[in-house]
Amino acid sequence: MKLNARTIMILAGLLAFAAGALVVQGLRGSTAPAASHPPPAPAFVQPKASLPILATLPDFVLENERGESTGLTELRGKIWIADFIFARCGSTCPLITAKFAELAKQLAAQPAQSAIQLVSFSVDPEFDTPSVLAKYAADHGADSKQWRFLSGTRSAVRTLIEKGFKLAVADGQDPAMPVMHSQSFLLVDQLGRVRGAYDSLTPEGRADLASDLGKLLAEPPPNDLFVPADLEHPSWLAARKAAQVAGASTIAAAHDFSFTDQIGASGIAFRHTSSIDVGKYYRAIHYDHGTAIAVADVDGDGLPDIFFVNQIGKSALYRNLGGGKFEDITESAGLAIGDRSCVGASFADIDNDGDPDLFVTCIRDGNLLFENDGHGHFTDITAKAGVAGTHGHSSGAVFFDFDGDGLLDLFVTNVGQYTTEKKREGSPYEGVLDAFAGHLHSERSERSILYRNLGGNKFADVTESSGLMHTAWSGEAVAFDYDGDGKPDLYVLSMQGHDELWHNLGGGKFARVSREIFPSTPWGAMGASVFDWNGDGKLDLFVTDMHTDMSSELQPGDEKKKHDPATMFPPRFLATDGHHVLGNALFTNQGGAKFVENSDAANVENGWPWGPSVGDLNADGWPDLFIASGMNYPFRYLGNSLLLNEGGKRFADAEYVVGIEPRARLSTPWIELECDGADAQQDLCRGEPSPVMVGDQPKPRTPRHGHVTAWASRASRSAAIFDVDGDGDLDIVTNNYNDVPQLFISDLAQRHTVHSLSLKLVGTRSNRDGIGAIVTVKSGAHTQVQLNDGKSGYLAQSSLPLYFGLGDASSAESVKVRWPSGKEQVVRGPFKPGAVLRITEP
Amino acid sequence: MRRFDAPCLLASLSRALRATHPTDASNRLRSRAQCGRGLALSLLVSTGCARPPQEIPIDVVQVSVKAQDTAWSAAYLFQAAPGAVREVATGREVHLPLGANVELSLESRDFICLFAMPGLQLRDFAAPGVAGRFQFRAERSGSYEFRGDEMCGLPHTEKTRGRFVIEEPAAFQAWVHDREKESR
Repeated sequence: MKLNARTIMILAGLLAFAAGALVVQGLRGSTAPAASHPPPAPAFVQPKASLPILATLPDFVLENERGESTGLTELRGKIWIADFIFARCGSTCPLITAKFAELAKQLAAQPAQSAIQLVSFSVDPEFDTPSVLAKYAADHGADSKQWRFLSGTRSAVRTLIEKGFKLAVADGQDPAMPVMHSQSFLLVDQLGRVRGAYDSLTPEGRADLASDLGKLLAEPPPNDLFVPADLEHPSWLAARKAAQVAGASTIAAAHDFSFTDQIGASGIAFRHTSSIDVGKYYRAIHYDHGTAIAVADVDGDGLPDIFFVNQIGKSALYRNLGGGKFEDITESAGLAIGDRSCVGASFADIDNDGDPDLFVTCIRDGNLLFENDGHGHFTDITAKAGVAGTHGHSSGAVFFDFDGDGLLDLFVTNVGQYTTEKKREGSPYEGVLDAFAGHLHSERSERSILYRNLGGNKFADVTESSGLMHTAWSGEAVAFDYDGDGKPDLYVLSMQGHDELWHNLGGGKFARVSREIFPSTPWGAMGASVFDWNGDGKLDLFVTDMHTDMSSELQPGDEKKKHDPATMFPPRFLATDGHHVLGNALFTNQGGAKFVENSDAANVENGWPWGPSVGDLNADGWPDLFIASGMNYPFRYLGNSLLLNEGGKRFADAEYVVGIEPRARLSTPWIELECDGADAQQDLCRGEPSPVMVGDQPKPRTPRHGHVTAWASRASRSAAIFDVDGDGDLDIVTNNYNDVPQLFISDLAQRHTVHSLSLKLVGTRSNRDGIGAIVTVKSGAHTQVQLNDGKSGYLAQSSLPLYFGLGDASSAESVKVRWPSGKEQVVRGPFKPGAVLRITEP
Repeated sequence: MRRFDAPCLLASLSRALRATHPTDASNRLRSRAQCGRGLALSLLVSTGCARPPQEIPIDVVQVSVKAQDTAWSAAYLFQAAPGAVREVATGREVHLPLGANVELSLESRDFICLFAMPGLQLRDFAAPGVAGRFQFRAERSGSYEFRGDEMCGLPHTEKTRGRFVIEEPAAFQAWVHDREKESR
């Protein structure tokens, strides 16, 4: 018998409500009397105990009826009521929705209840697209300010209902039909906690809801504290947006396209979690440098998959299903890393078998190497390979073939000891108090490690014999041949000191040539990219500098300026020769191992930058920049930077023009405190107005009570640029710190005919990935050069095809590859736009 | 005017530095409580070894500035007898006699604290185990604001803001005596 929707709904209602009722009654039986018969409460008794906490919702993001990604953060601070429906349902749903509509009217009619939100979750995500739900909303007279409709992917909604709301769900026999679900109304409080479940279709259930709603409204509301105070509506933001948009006509690069954050529709439910050392026990520490996102086609289906690194809890691997949809395959892929705090991730084919393997760096508990079986199943081969490291504070890891033997070697940066051995809940290792003075204490330094790939998935630590004895506080590196001698050199960033350049001498030896080539570098470097920004055929080096922006308060309007030397860190703190670029550096290659720093002329300075990602976002043949930027608690909101390349002359700020900024909500809950309980002695409970104080005089302190949520700025750390949905243009995925990611889908291909060429290199004598190859594409009068180094952003290497925008050119004439082996190969076209070329080394 | 007794002052400085050990935390916490949480500026005033405290030298003044929990506090070195150092709380205001040579030390017990006093062109920091030393001459009377930020962390502006006041020696002496009275 084939189940129809009506049958499913009836079954679902019976199953789920029975299960839900059991859950509710079970909890209430142990904590409180039945909701329908509460004892009369004396006036002096806090009513907060009268409603149980049935479940605490995870930080979810779904898609609303307007196509916007929205979720729990947007609902925080409000009381809301949920139901579960689907638009093509012909039986129970109309009854549920009719009762919800009645409830909406009742709430709207009472001023005390008019702020209560209604949220209808679709259990039929494949069918209930935003437009379907928008029509459904209109048909039922839903006021969007009061009543929203959320959908996503089937698995995301199913997981939320089952594991978040703790309601019984089941799949019917027909996988195309909706998830079986509850007919309950659920009452959710301002903190995202489910406080009651009620049968929507009985008068008794609805009466219980009304009664419990009154009790919830009578509870002392949780207190929100925004840090800084203007966080939600910073004074500079609207003017910044308006100015950039007004000046868009002067941008000498295609900018008539936009990005939409579609994380809510994607099925990606990853949520980055930060150490408690940057939360409740706030201190300035390298934990706040965040973690990576790395991308590779792990299962060989031709679609790039995404690996998000987490700081606390499990990292996650999402398989690309096509069309911008993903599914979580972390467990089945064997990558459920949750026992340690990790930082970086690098995909590379270490054994030249044609699939991306994965190296993950971690803090204190050892790094991890996983071998891919070609189908997206990974095996931990760390011990066999000998790459666990020194159990230090590892960060970015770079695969490159330094000895030219066709096997990818590995350089692992170690930052330095910024944690103690003391463990505590919420932070694998408690941080030191003066972490950013670590470079002044030689005993805290940790040498970075150079491994040579011996073949057979074995590596040898050759740090000492190579002479690459790097002990600076480094979290990232890039490999490129700065002097054109055919051997990859290594530029290692320092986040507390000078960057260093290690010249590959051949024979497995390196020599430090830092100041000879780069007399001045940033002092607080975070991320780097090597690319030919000005189209002269030579590879340039872009380095972001975050720490310099932290040497004094970065005022709105100063983000595009280099730091004032008068307010830079004092020389004794720099502990260098003092020759620094006071912000981002763009080292433009002059040839002959000469570089000129021209970041200001090129307009690539920005505020609080972390990882740069490079890609031709408008497919015009010139590489653009996305810089994951901003800080969180307790700093002001800043946002990410998107810079469009104006024909190799300079870059234009465009993050507001193309829809990257501002976020719909600028802040996210950061610290949760029980000020009448365990956290009474915490600074904020004791009445600090905020950790960021303004003014010179002590202010009277009024202790806070009840539940206090301190909100902080949202900010990204890392990003990857690739064609997420396979439509021919480049999209952007971020990994945001202590927050949900963003999935910026471009509409370039929908608004224009995109001309592009994608190249997949297959090395034979060289390493199979072709890491280190330099590719030149000619199309008309334009020549583009890219380094195939796998660097996709911050702390990461990805395995992605090279993407060349062709602008208006109708074809590309030729592709030249200079392989790491030294072999030069020219493949002649013409190649039509949209072609995906697989070029194998002869 | 009393002459500066360098060996005596160095001995006093050494004692003041030793006083930054955690065992001294209770005293510091008490003084912090007097001036609002997390903030106190205390002075140890050097009047020369074995001299009465009211006879304050003004040719050389040593100020030890220390940070704890991102708040600054300070100390002149004053030694009435060998081995005896007096501490006088003064809030966040450090007065200096015009014409004095000022020797300033910076220390921190826990976090990194920047110390910036643009009016006197001072910009330095304190961190555990990384002490700093300055010398300057109090040449121009006036009020000079200072502030400290924790690197890459909380500005804590209220806790770390203060000022140095350079004034006539008589006013300086009166200021120190008032602070001494307050501390008793």
